[in-house]
Amino acid sequence: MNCELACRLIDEYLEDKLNWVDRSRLEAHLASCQACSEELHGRPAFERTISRALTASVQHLKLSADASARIVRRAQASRHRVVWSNRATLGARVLASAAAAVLVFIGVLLVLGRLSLPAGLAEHLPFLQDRTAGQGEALTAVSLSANDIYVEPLHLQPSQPFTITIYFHSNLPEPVDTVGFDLDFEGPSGHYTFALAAKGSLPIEGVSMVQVTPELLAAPCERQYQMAPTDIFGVPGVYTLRTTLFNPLSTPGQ
Amino acid sequence: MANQDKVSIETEELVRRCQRGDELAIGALIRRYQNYVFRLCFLVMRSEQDAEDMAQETFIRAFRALPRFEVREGASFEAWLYRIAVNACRSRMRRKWYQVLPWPSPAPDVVAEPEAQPDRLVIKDERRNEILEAIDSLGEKHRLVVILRYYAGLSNEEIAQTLSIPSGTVRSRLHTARQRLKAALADKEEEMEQLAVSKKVAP
Repeated sequence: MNCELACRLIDEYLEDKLNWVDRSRLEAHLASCQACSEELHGRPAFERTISRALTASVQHLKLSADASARIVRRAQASRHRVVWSNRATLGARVLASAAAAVLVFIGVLLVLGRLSLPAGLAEHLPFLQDRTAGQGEALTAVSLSANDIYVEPLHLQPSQPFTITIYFHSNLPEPVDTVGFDLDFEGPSGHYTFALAAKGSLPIEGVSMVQVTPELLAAPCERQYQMAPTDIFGVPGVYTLRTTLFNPLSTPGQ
Repeated sequence: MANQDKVSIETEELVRRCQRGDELAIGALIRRYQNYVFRLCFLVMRSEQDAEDMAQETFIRAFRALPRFEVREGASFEAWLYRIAVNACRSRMRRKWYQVLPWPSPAPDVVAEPEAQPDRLVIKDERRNEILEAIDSLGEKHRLVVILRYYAGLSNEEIAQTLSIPSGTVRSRLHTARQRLKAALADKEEEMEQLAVSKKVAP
């Protein structure tokens, strides 16, 4: 071990965060190198000196009572705005749900109309499924129309793989890291809801997409309904698919 | 450090109350940290007016994000708040015209942490100014890690998260900063010694 590496490891050594290999190598080096040994023993005092100089240089600074009151007022006001906007989404959630596409797809042996792909696709979001249904603030700034849910293939067959592609059109005030969406299926075999999430960075403006396949639905199907996706989607008939978007990282209003 | 534990438990409780919408708790939490945040912003920006603006910005951002803050063991509210403060300052400083002002000369004569370190109460003004000037001479990247480590008391990992850099880079910057500070302070000492010798020699 050379002196430069030894000096870099001293912090972790003092904080007892080194693994035993590095610790042994460092101790062997310290035993044979006076300069590094002095560095080790002088480090805490040196750091205290720097720390005290910085602390002492600003210790006299205090926010005035006016400034303090202003900060409290504005922080509370900003929180009110957040709460208000969350409350507003309770109504908006219904609208979002209605706007969020009602797609009728026809099960086994019947044909589903193919929908056109939106232009300017920005982001393909990886799929996750760790959500609680209805959790989070409704993402009303992300629009979705009937044309934005796309099911492939056109002809569904029992046990045949299919892909549901959802396109999100963002018009967000700030980027969103995860988009949660509840997929509601209503069909001859019953009503099923899957709380899903897609991780990625939704752009402030642009189009993102997520793809859901029976394989991805297998675990939630089993967990929630103790059924395989083919049991749910293998019954002939007309299926209605709705989705509602959420920001699962935000808390809904009371 | 039983006292620290007590403070930490109270902070957690305050944070929980704020998350439930308790306005008194919001005021209490701000008052508890406002001066720490203000001073940290001042160290980064070196202007009281800007530091006050950034302290306000920090709390506005913090309370917007507070519902997402998880109160749990190992999650430090202070580190989270300082991260927001430093990032608010850095956003402001990215404006091309922003320049960090030099330290007022001499820096205010203040006793350093009288309660915490009764053994060495006062750092001599001269020495303190040398240290502050040496920190300023490090350049922005190294100056920030020194402030976050030695003023805010963040760990290498917390600094890495705050600055969005790998923790290895933090270690490397701290190492470089320490070497440069030692060199700068050694040069100053040498200058002072030479000055003292020349005064003795002079008739």
